[in-house]
Amino acid sequence: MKARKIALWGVMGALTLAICFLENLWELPFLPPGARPGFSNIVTVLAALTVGIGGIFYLTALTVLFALLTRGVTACLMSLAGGILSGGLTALLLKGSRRPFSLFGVAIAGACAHNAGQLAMACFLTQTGAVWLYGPILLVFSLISGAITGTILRLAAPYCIKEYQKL
Amino acid sequence: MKTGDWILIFAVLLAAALLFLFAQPFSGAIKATVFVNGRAVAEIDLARVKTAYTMEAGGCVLQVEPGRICFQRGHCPDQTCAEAGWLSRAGQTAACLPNRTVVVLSGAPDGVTGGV
Repeated sequence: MKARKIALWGVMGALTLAICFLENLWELPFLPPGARPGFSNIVTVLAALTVGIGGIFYLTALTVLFALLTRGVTACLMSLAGGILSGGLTALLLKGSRRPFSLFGVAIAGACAHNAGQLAMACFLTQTGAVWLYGPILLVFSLISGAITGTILRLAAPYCIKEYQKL
Repeated sequence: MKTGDWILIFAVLLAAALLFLFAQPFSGAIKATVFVNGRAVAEIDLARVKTAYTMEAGGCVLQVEPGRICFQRGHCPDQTCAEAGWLSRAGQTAACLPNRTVVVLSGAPDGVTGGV
């Protein structure tokens, strides 16, 4: 592996963690505590488009570890559930050449999957079904945050792919 | 935007709407039992409450609304009971110790609160 590519993996990891850290700084109104726009998904999808599916799992593992170190075991488990679902779905949607969704759709699907995973984990951890009451608002929120992420992705992806090929 | 994107957006909105309609917290037959001095003085089927009302028990005033029940503020010195807020799920309880009054919620046969 060329040094430039190794550096790229490092930069992607740093970007993801920086976004996660910034998103932890404030709580969003009307949403359950801990709900975040998940802009780090931009980096995840870009990683998948350049270095490949392995990038998704690398970044997911990194965020899960980051959650464990900064916010404890519960946050780590929540992050893990969301990360596995979202990462798995993103990998699946980007696999092959006949993709059912554009990057816009991929971002929305990833956001929804992330929230579904977190809700399922919250449900399991609290042993109550009541957390599903957050479902509708989280889904609508995923749609909005996914649309923002997707728009950024559509703008950034062609440029990133082009630059990656020069590496 | 591909057609798939629009289908996805529509599907997510539909799922949100369905969840909103069907994942109501009060769908089970939730029974609130009011105890004063350890004796059950009232049983309320919260799912059947159509209009809000208040009732007195053991010197406390309870607010009853469709699907939920709450201690009203201002009838005892420490207000712990009112701090407990609205109770709507089986297993929730609130107690007013100065007035020896306890509200216990039970039921939910459809497993709404059963967890996964």
